[in-house]
Amino acid sequence: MADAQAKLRVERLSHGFAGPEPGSHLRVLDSVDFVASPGEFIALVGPSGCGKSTLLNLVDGLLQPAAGRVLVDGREVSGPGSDRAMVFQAASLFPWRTVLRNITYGLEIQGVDGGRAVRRAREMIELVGLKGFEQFYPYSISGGMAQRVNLARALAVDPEILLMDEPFAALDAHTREAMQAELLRIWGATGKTILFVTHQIEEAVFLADRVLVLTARPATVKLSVNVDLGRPRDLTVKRTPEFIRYEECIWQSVRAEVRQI
Amino acid sequence: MRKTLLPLGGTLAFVAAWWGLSLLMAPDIRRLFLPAPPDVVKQAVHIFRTEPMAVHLGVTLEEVAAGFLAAVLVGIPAGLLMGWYRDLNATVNGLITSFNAMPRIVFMPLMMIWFGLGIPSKIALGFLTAVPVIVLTTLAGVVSVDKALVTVSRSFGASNRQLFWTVVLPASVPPIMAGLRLGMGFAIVGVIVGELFAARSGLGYLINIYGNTFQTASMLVVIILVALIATAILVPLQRIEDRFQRWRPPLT
Repeated sequence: MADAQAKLRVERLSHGFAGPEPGSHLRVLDSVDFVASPGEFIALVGPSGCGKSTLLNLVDGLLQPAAGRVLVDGREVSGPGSDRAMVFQAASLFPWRTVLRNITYGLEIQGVDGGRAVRRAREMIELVGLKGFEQFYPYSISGGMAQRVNLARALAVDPEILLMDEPFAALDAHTREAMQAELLRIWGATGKTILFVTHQIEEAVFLADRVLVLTARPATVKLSVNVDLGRPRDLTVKRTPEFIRYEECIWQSVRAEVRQI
Repeated sequence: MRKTLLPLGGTLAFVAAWWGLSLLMAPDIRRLFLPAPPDVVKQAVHIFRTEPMAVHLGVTLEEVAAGFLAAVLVGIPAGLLMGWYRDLNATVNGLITSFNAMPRIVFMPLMMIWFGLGIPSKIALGFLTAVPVIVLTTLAGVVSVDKALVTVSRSFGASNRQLFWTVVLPASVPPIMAGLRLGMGFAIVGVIVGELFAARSGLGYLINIYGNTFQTASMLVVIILVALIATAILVPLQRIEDRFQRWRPPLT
């Protein structure tokens, strides 16, 4: 049963929430199954509201599943842990902390001593290209820079799995493309396993080794597409016929789900 | 430039209106009803020479400081606890809200029974006037903490204790600072009103004595003194609060 190759294994994961009426129940995930190998970049797409964020929260351990389980290196997840870190959709930086101190946050929580935390944070600042902005407060930096800090804060704790919840959704088109290229560079440099939720099919195809299409709620994995576009990729790949074919195929699959809502 | 000139203009216009109004009155009526600014200035010089003003001022400041300090020491922890423990909040919120809505001077006779005519009863009244607003603004600060930041903290595996010290408390600092400024204002009100009611010294006591003996010019001197002291205390507090509101790096 245990697969030596699996970094992350999601097994028959089901979840639901209390509905708006008393006693009613909203089924969000229905027996979601997939496996991520070490260093794999997986994108999750699906109609909005289908439960992609819930799935990430379950993998992060912020929520406990109603049924099924999440395994990291064969060990069952029961809560947040330092082997996983989340990059949130809204950058959600601590407004009273500088860029540097935002990045040290996770390390402080894990009890890493101050000097080491700061050295580690400075490496991350270098990695995400924020050198010179260490002492800036969140209110004074742009949305793109805030997402770099958000990413650096997650990377600082050196997780094995990076969970990204539509991190570039709020950015303008140019900044988003720049951040996508940045993310691929950083992923190449760190070798993390990434689970990336997005509603943008183009983004999913550009970034991922594999795109998982989820059905409408209650979500289950409908389609798994291996994206064989070679590495490293740059933005010009988005203009190639192969890229557009992948996009088309996934788009058809997602559209069939959106119609059902 | 405008920022200095406009308030200065407002103050001058106020003094001019006061002066104009008092000049409309016959001199003997004016003396009782509304003495002109120069008369008040003259009286101020006289009072400061003949009365132990430093003592009265010291008494009032001591009462305000002690009442406010007690309100801070009780109010901030109480607000934090209420924000953290929902059941505690549900238990006492109604009591504190209704206490906050009533005039606290109704407790002055009781405070006199408990603490007598002197300084302690004014400290108690200053405390009672200041504490609810500090509790309620601190509570509002804790309750309104950005839930997304709580999720970030949890995601990094923070314990309850870490969540409190690294997210809830720092996020509550701006509302707490606002509560401290409001609380200081209320402590001054409580102490002065308490002194007006019954006291042996203090600025409120002086206002009461001068009023009862129709020494209007002297009374106005003390009233203006109260206004100046309140301003001297509250304006710096506002400055400190503004700094905390903006999450600016400290100017060192």
